[in-house]
Amino acid sequence: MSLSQSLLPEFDHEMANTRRVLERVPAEKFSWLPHDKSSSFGKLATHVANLPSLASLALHQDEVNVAERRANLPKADTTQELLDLFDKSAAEARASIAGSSDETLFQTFTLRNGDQVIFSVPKIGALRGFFMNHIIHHRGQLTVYLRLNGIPVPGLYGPSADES
Amino acid sequence: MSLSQSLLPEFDHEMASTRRVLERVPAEKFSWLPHEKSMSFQRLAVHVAELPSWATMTLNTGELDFATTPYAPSKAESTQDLLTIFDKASSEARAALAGASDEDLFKPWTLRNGEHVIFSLPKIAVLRTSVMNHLIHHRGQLTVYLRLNDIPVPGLYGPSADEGNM
Repeated sequence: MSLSQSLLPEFDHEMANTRRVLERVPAEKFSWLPHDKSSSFGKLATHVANLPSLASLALHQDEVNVAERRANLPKADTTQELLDLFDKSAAEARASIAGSSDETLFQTFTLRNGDQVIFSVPKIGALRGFFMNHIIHHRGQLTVYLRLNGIPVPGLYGPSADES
Repeated sequence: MSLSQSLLPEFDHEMASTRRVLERVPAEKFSWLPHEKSMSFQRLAVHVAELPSWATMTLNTGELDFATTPYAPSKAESTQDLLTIFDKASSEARAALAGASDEDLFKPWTLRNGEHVIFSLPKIAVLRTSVMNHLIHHRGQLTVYLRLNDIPVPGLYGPSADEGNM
């Protein structure tokens, strides 16, 4: 089994769960935030919806400048637009992973901010640390945002308090 | 490079980040919860602190049956207790991971409740999803708990709002 084939079942499982969370983010709460230093509901959800594109970037490019990427991220104004962003970025990421050879996955990927190198790691490591762990982190935050708004939380690694 | 060797740099990185979050959970807020259906600060932090022990269990056993081994959370009365639970769990998990052969990592591991099989997956998949992703999910929730209590949030995948913008 190739390395990319070994990654796809986990990818599909986690992306299906991510979509279940995004489906519940209500557009009328996009401007809500739990604390004045927090990302708004809409900003956090849009970040999660766009995050799979990091997997595609890491596989198709050898380096990314974070400042340029940030300026070009698509926005969402409705739950459907959020899901459209996510479906597109997740489908592209899946195709990028499925099409990557073991050799590609061990090539180096570098993230920089202007001239500063933030990290430089094998692409397989970037898929974990830069994409998968990163999206799960912010999706975890989104589940608290759902709860604080009285929206039932889908169980992700076991039943949530709304399901048990 | 063995599969386990390829997992250790990520393990070390994420466990170091996790410790930075747990260090900031204040004992005087242990009973605080953001919503009546939420886990308390203490329960969520204990869950995160214990989760690395699931890696050790996955690597050292073939299955867990909730019917015969009900979950009993560890007790923590202080932030130091949390860190002691976490340091023990994460150092044992690291040793178990470092000692696992590729063959071990492809053996199946089963979670069941009596006759009902919840899942049965290769150990490598259990380590990824039920241990690492699961821990990161709840650690993400903990960072919101910190923020809601005006405790500075450590940046994990980039700077937090308490650390300034990149």
